[in-house]
Amino acid sequence: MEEQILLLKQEAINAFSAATKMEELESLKAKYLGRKGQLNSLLKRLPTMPQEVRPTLGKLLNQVKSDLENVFEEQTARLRRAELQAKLESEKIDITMPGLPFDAGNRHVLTAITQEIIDIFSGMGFEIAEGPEVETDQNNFVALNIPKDHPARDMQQTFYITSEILLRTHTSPVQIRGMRARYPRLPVRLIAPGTVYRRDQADARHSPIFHQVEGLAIGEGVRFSDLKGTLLVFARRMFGPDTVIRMRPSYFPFTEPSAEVDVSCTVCKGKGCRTCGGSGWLEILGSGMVHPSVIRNGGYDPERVTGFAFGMGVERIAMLKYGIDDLRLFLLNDIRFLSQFH
Amino acid sequence: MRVPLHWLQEFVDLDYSPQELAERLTMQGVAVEAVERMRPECRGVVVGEIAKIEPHPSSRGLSVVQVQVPEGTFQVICGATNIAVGDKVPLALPGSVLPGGKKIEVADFDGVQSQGMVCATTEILFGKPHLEGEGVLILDKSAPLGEDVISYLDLEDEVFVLDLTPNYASCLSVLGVAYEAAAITKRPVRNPLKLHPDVARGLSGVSVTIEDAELCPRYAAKLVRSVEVGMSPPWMQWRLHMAGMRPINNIVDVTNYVMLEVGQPLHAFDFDKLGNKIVVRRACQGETIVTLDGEKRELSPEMLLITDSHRPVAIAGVMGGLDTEVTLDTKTVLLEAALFKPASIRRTSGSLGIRSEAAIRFEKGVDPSIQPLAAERAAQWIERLGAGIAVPGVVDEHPNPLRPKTVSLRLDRALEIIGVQIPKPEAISLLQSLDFEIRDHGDTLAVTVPARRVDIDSEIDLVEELARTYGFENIPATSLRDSTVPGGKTPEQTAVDQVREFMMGCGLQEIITPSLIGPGDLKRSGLEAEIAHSIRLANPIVEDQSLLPRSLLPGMLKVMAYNIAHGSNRLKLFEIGKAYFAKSLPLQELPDERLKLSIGATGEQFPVHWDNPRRQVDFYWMKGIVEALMARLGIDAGFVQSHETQYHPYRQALVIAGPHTLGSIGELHPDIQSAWDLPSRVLVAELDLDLLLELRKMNRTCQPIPRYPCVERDIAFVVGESVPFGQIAKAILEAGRPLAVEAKLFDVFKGSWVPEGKRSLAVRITYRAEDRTLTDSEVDSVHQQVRKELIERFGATLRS
Ligand SMILES: [Zn+2]
Repeated sequence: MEEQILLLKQEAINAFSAATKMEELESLKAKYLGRKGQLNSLLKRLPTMPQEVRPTLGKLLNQVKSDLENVFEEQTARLRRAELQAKLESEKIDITMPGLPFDAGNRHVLTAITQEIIDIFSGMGFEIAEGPEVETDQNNFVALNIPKDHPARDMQQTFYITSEILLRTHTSPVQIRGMRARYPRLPVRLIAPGTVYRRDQADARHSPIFHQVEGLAIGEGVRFSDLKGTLLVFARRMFGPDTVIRMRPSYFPFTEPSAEVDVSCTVCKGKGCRTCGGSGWLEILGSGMVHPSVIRNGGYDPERVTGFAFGMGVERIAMLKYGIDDLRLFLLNDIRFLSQFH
Repeated sequence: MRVPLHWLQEFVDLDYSPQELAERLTMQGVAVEAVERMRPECRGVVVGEIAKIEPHPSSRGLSVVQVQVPEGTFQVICGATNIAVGDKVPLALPGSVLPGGKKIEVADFDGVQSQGMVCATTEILFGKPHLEGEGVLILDKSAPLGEDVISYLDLEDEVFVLDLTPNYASCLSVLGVAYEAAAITKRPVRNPLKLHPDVARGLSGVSVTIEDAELCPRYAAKLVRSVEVGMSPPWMQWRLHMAGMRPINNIVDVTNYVMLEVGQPLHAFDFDKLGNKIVVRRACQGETIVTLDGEKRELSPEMLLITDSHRPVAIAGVMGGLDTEVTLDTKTVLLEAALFKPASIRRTSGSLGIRSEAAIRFEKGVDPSIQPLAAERAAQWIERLGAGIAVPGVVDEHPNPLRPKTVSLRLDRALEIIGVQIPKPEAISLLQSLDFEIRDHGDTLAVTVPARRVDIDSEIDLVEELARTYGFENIPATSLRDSTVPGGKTPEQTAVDQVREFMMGCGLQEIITPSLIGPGDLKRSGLEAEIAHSIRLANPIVEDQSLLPRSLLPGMLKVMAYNIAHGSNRLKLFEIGKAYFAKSLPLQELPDERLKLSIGATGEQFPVHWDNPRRQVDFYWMKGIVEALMARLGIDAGFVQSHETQYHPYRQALVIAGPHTLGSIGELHPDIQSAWDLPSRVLVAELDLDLLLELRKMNRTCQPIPRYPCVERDIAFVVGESVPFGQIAKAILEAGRPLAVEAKLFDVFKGSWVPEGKRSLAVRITYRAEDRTLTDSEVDSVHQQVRKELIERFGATLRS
């Protein structure tokens, strides 16, 4: 019988190992280890064996049963792995096919630049102010030292609505509004983005509608050197840490001294190239010390406070930063253009 | 202004290279845009001597002239009569080229060979045919034979092209630029006007009456007799040309030359046609004058005239009259050097459309101290050219003589404004370098301003002078010293940014459209009635950009049409822009400018992809975005049917919140869609962003997470298709109160087994109690109430 048991064991191990499917393995389990299986039928014959061999045979049978159960578990695990492997293989995909595209919205390039400018000056304690596009002649010109017949009116061709109401030609009226709204609070530091209008025919370099950002700082002891320092910080944040600026004397009726501000060319770093016309410099904004009579028109006493102001063209900055060569692109809204900026 | 360098050097020594000086002038505020090298572009014209003149054998009026040069003798045919044997003349050798590219070749004149050409000034300077009566240019006897004529005449020069800001009126003359250069080189200026400081006042035989001393504060006149009008010498013509002016004749050229030299515009009258009585007065209504350019000009009373006591002879400071023009026959010239009020000249030249060099200078402001000196200087030049004899004395009508301007300057304050520390003597010498006279009164400096600096009136003007001569590049970069201030955006500005971010998160591209549109745009957008409500420009450039509208829709549609025409087929766009609401028209006061949010979409909802559904944007897509935005802003908004002309009549809604109308959404009317050539349906929305910001919920408190689970039950039923779902949803929540908290529509079906006129709806209802887990029987009972309500109220047939 012992021989028979060992033979059965060997046969069962071979059968389990040869199984290729779970169902097959299950039926082999029933055949050898089941209630009506072959091992059980040997067990049933045990009482017919001589008394003295029964314990040994019983022990052997139990040992074989436990061994076969282990083999069965091993083989089950083997088949499960194989089945999973087959399933995974059947799920193979072409990972080079395109992913699900999402529409990622973009901000308009002018918004992007304006926000960048605002963020830089916000960090220096400037508030964001706003003013209307439809303005009075008084705020747009007269309060800024540009009375009727002033030659500076030639520099700014104006759209009029009535003789006293116009489309603002610059964001500078926000200087007057900003001061009046805050008087007598000090210091005043504001930055005012907005749309402005000039009566110019549209071409690659002119647009009747464009965008500016105005800056104003009024306080006790505000100096021209502070203007220079503030604009240097701005230029470095906007155009890179190696940027240098150059201030050239200029003229605006509402600031004195006035300065045009150039930054070192973003393309050639000052060596001279086509973008900067060989000069190594790019003009980015106009600035100056707020004229005493403008401070007075804003409600403050120019003997007690001084201030600086500056104004820059958003399109101009965008053109320099991104190498855009046609002003008309900004309001055309060609999505092939817009989608390049975020 | 264009400044030839040799001319500048007559007034001040320059120790800098032209490029260096240009750079320094620019950094001092006198912007030099370019440095141009100029020379008459003729090649191969040399100094020759006339050896022999014989008449042409067959052609009358022509001579056969032998001209000697070192290489030999050239025979040329010539029509001029002003030459004599021994004269030195410019000879264009065969193969030479005149300005403009004309090549001189050996030619045959009626059987006689001409080996080149003897030239007139006009030919060698400008390459143009010589003028009538202009003879051959006779050079000085000392001119070396064979030398290039242009080199001999020393005409080549560098020209500074200035791009002057309006405050540099004083730099509209070579002398004014010399004073600026002197501040750099620290060399003295040789002011040519100081050569004639003691002009004899009074001139017999000429009377000047100024009737309007406000418009004409000063009028000086000078006579020149025995005038011979002709060409001015090559050097003067060439300097005028380099400075951008056209040579006319010696008299007019001198007036222009002196204007360019010292900045005083002059006018020359033919004295014999003018008469001896000059009256400066305003024009009478309806008066006319024919100006030098041959145009008949209508005059009006705000214009100032020079008259010969009865008729106008010049429009003051703008342009002279044709009648009294200097001609070849003129024998006596009256030179006028006057001062006119800038604003008046500006208005007159503007309304007549004449931007003469004189008008430009008067408009910006002329040195009020130099009129008699400038007239004297011009007369001296005419004498020097041998073109006339100056009559001694000058008329100087000057009703209210000006005293020199003195401005007081607090130096400490000035340096504090600039942000520099400069020792007082250095600061004083900076101002002196610009010809300011300084008296030191301790705390203040009394600064006497040269009369030429009409731009300097107040202390701050001197601060600027100090800063620019010190050099902006030498001023340090410092930080604002004020106590720090918070800065940043207002809550509204932040909220606008958040709305923009949200729109971008919905996959929309931001656009910025022109705020000026045309009536045609409104009409094409179905908003014709808006034309009357839009603010109109008084002086538009084009009709297409003449209105400020109350709607962003036309701008949106224009962008969509453009992009569709350029190959895009799906567009999802938004704009945050202004709309302009007039309180009354025509505008009496500033309009309300309200921020609006405009959304537009057309084409497929999703990008084309093998696994994406191919579905067009529709009303519910747009409504979903608006609903999500409202939820984001915490606004409890609803949608009600509306009747706006720009939309599909049955696919549009007003967006409302309580008593407020926030805007509208809808599918564009097919007629408007096709008017803009848009191929597929277009969905648009326009919301009053300012109102949204006002109504938005600001301070939210945290809601606790529900502690007990909810139960969801689906219900499907068939109901009349005209019953709005909004009513059904409301009825479900009311009937299921307080446990029913949400009713979501998840299926809609029509046709097939659903009877005509009805639709099948399926709704998922969420039941929840705050304080306990609901039991099945509790939910059953309330769900039963909901079923009953649907049947009784809407005649619904329940399917589950
Ligand atoms: Zn460059």
